[in-house]
Amino acid sequence: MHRLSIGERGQMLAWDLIFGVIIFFIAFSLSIQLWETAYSDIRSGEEEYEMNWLAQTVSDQLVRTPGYPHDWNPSDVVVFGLVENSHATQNVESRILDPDKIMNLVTAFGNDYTGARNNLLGSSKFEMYIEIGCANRTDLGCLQGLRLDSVDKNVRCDNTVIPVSNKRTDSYIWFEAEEIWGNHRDQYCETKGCSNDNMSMIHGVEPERFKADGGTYQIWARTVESANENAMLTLDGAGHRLYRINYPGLVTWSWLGQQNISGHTFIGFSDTVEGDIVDAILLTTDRFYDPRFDNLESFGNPNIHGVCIAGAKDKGAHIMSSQKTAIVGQPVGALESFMGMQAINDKVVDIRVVIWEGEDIEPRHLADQTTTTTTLEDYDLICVDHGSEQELCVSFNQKWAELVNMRIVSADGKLICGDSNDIIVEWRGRHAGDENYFAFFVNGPQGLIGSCTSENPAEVGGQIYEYNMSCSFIPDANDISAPDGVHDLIVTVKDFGGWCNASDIRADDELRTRVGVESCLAYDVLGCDQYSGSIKLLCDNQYSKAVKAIHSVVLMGADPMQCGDSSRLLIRWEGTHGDAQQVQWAFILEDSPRVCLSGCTTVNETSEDGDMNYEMICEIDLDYDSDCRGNPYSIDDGEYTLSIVAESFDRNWCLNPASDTVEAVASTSVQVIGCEKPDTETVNFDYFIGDYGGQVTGAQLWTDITGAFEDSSASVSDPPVGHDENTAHTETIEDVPIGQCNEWNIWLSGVDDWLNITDNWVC
Amino acid sequence: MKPKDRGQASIEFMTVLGITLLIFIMLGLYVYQNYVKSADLKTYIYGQRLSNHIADSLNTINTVSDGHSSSFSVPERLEGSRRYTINFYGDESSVFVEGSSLASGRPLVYSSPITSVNIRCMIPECDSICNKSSDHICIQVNNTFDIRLSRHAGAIYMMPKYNVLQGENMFFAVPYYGEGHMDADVEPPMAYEAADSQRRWNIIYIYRNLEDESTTLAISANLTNDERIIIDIKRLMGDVVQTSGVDLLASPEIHLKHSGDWEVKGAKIRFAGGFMACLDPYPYMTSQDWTFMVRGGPHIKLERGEEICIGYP
Repeated sequence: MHRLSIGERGQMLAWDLIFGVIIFFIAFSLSIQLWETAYSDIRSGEEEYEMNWLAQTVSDQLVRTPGYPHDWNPSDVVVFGLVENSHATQNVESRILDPDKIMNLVTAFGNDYTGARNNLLGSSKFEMYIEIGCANRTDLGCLQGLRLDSVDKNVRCDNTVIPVSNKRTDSYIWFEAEEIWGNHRDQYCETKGCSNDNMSMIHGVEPERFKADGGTYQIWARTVESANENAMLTLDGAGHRLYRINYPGLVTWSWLGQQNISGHTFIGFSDTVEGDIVDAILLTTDRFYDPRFDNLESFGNPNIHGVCIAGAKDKGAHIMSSQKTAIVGQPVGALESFMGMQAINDKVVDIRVVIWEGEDIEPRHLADQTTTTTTLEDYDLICVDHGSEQELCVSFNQKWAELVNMRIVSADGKLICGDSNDIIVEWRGRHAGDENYFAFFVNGPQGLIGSCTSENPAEVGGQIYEYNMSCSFIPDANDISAPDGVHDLIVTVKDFGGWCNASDIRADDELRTRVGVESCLAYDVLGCDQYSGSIKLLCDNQYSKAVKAIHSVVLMGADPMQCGDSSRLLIRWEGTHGDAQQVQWAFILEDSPRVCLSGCTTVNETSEDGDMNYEMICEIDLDYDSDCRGNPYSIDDGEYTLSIVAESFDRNWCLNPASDTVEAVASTSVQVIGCEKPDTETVNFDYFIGDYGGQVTGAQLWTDITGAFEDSSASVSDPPVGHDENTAHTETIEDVPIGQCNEWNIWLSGVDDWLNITDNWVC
Repeated sequence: MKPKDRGQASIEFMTVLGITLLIFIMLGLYVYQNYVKSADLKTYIYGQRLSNHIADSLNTINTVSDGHSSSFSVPERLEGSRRYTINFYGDESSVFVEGSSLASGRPLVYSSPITSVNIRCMIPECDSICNKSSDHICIQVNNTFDIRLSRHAGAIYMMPKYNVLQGENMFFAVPYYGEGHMDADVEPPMAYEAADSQRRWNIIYIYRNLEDESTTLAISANLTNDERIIIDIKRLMGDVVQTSGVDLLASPEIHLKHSGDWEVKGAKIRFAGGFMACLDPYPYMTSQDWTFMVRGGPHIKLERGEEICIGYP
C-alpha cells in the first residue's frame, strides 16, 4: 500500500476537485443543454402558434369583413377586408367578396409591401404573402369577367398580371379541337403542327353552346391555310371569315374580328368544306392578348397563372398558412337570374394567407420575379403633329391601342385657341412596328383640333407598353367654333392607315373628357353705342329674339369698377343681328334694389344675315348721380353680380334679369368701389350785402330748413368787415344734406338787424 | 509537518476556494441571465396571447350584427409583475399590449390585427392618464376586471360587464326603445308601471331610438311642493347631442324642481350612440327612492343618495 507523504496531500486534493468539477460541469452542461432545448422548443412553439393564429385571423379578416373605410382603396385603407358591402343597405355578407377589393389588395401589396404587411400583421416580425386562386379550377378563370367599380388598370400580382379593360377583368375562352371537334383520324393536320398532333376541326360539326361574361371579344383562330374564302366562324349566327388572311405553311393564329357577346352563346361554322381545319379558337376581351406572340407552341392559356401571389413569397422553411373559400360577388346587373330565381355566381376563389419565417431569408427584394409577355412597360412618347394630313380610317384591323386618360397640361388645363396647347394622352398597347395615329376634336368631328402620329422605334415586338404621350397643338378658332365654356375634348387612336374621326367605330379607341375651352369661336366685331335718352321698359322675348345666347362677359379696364371712371365690358354673343334687329343692352347691378348702371345699343349691321357670333366692347360710365334712367343711386363698396340683359323687341329695354321673358341674360362678378352717394355735400355760394348802417364787427351764417331760423350755424370765412356794402363775398359750407334746399342768412354784429343775402337759397 | 508546509496547504485551499467561488459566480450569473430570459419569454407569451385574445374577442364581435356582446377578463399584470396598458390607435388596425421587460425594464409591445378601428371605450380605466390624444384609447390595467364588448350602430363598445352599477350591486338592464326621439317632457308611458297608488316615483331609464340608434338617459321625478333634486354628474362618456334639464358646464349637474302638483319634472341626455354616465343624487332632497326602469322588468330598486353608473350598450 502506498503511503502518502505530506508533500503529496495537496496533489490528491486537486485530483478529487478536478474529478468533482468535471462531473459537475458535465451535469451542468447537460442541464444547460436541456434548458436551452426546452427554451428553444417553447419559443419556436409559441412562434408557430403565433404564425398559425395570424394566418387564421388574417384569412378570416379578409373573407369576413369589408375593411375600413367600407369602400377602401390602396391609398386610404385603414383595415383590409374583402367583403362586399352594399352602399344602399350597408349590409355585409360574410364570404361574398368585392372584386375591386381583391384587385386593390393585390395593388396595395405591390405598391407598399411593408405598409400592407404591417397593417395585417401589426408589429410582429413575420413576413407574409397571399395567394388568390380558384376553388374549382387550376387557372385564374374565376377572376375573369369580373365587373369592377373603380379599378380600370391591369393589376400586377407578383407572378402574373390580371388584365383589366373597361372596368372589367378580361376573359379568355378557349376551344380546342382536341376537346370539342377533334378528328382523331386527321392525318393532314399532324403535318401542319397542330397541337396534340392529329386533332382538328372537321367540316360539318354542330354548334357548341358556351357561357361568356358580357363584353367585346376578340376572335382568334388557329387555322391551316385554305382556299375557301367563304368559310365562316359564327357566334350567335354572326359570321367571321376564317381565312381572311392565309398564312401558308404550318398552322397559325389569325385574328378574325370582334363581337359583343354575353351569357349563353352558340359557336359554330358555316360554309366550310372538307379540308377546312381549325385547331383552336380563342375568344378574349383582352385586346392586347395576341396568341401569335404569347401562345406560340402549346394550346390553352399558358400565361394565365394558377394563382395570383401578392406579398413577399417565402424563401424560408418555416411556414404557416390558412386558406378560406369565398364567392366573388358582382353587381346585381351582372348576374344571371331566371324567372325570379336566385342569381348564379360561379366565381369561387381561395384566399390563402401564408405567414413565414426562416433563417435563410434573403433580403425582401425579390430578384427572381417572373414577368409575362402581358406585363406593361411605362414609356414616354411624343406625338408629332402632321398638320394637314387627311383622315384615313381603315375598316379591318385589330384594335391594338386602348386610351386610358387625357389631360391638358398647359394654361391651367384649358384649351385655348391661338395658343400652344400641351396634351398628355395615356394609352396602352402596341405600335405593331409602325406609326399610330391620333386625332383630337372639340365636341365632335366638326371641331378638329389636329392630328399627330407616334412611333416607338425601340418597341420590342409583341411587348405591350403603357405610354405617356405628349402632343402639342395650336388650335384654330375657325376650325373649332366652340364658345367659351366647358366642352368635350375627344381623342381617337388608330394603329394602322391613318387617323379616324370622332365617333368613327373603326377607330381602335376613343376617349372623351370635359375641358374648359377659350377663344375657340371666331367673332365679328360689333359696336355698341352707349345709351342716352329715355327708354321704354319691357322684357319680351316673344317676337324678335335677335339674341340667342350670350357666350361670355369679361370686365376689361378698371377693376374694380369705380364711380367717376369708365369701365368696359367685352361681350360675346350669338344671334341674328341685322338692320331691323337693333339690340338694347342693359347692365344691371344686383344690389337691393337693382341698379341699372348703364346701357348701350348695338350699331346696326346690315351686311350679315342669319346666326352670327359677335364680339363688342361696351362702355359703362359709373356715376351715382345718374343711372341709366337719370336717377341717382348709391352702392356700398363690395362684390356684386353684374347682369347683362339683352332686349331687341321694338327698341325696348329689359331691366329685370330675373324676368321669365328676358331675351338673353348673362352675369359676371364685379367689385364696385366709390359708388356710395354721400349724404352731405359741400356747397359754395356768392353774396353781397346792400345798404346797411353801422360797422360790421363780426358775422355768422344761419340756415333755415323748416321756415323758421334754426339753431345751426356755420362760421363765416369771408365776412364783410366795417362798412362793406355791395362787395362780393364767397362762402363754402360743408356737410350740407343732399337734396335739401336751405335758406342761408347772415347775422352781422354791429349792424342793427338780420340782413338778407341775395340768392340765399342754396340746394 | 514543518511549519513552512502549513502555509502551502492554506494557499492551495484558498486558491481552490477562490476558483470555485469564481466558477459559481459565473454560473450564477449565467443562471440568472437564463432566468431573466425565461421570464421575458413568459412575458412574451402572456403578452402576445393576451393581445391575441383581445383581438379575437373584438374580431368576433365585429363579424356579428348589432346587439351581440361578449366579455373577456384582463389579468392584473403580465408575467413578471410588470404593469401594462392596452392601446388602440385611431388609424391602426391593431390592438397593442404595452408592457416592459423584467430584466431591463425596456418597453415590450405585443400587437394583433383587429378588423375595426371604430372602437369606443366606456370603462373607467379608459379615463387614465396614458391617453395621449383624442383618437387614442389607452386602458391602464391595475387590477383584474372584465370588459364587455358590444356592437352598437356599427361601433364596438368596451363596457363594464354590467350596465347598471351601484356600490356592490350590479345589474344588466334592457333599455326601452321606440322609433323617434322621446318627448320633451320626459314623461314616458312606461313610467306609470312604477307608480304606486299615490303616483309618486323617481325613476331613471334608458331609451333607445331605433331610427338613428341614438340613446337617451332619462331621469324623471315626481316632486311635491318646494321639493327639488340636484344630481351631480360624476362621469359622462359618449357623444352628447341634446340635453334637457342638464347643466353640462364646469360642474355638471341635473336639476329637477317642482313647480306644480303632480307635475312631472325630468331631465334627459341624448347620445349619438352608446354612453356611460355616473350620477350622484343628493339624498336629502327627496323622500322617495329611485327606481331604474327595465323594459320587461323587473325594475331595479336603487339606494337613495348613492352613486349610480349607467351605460349602454
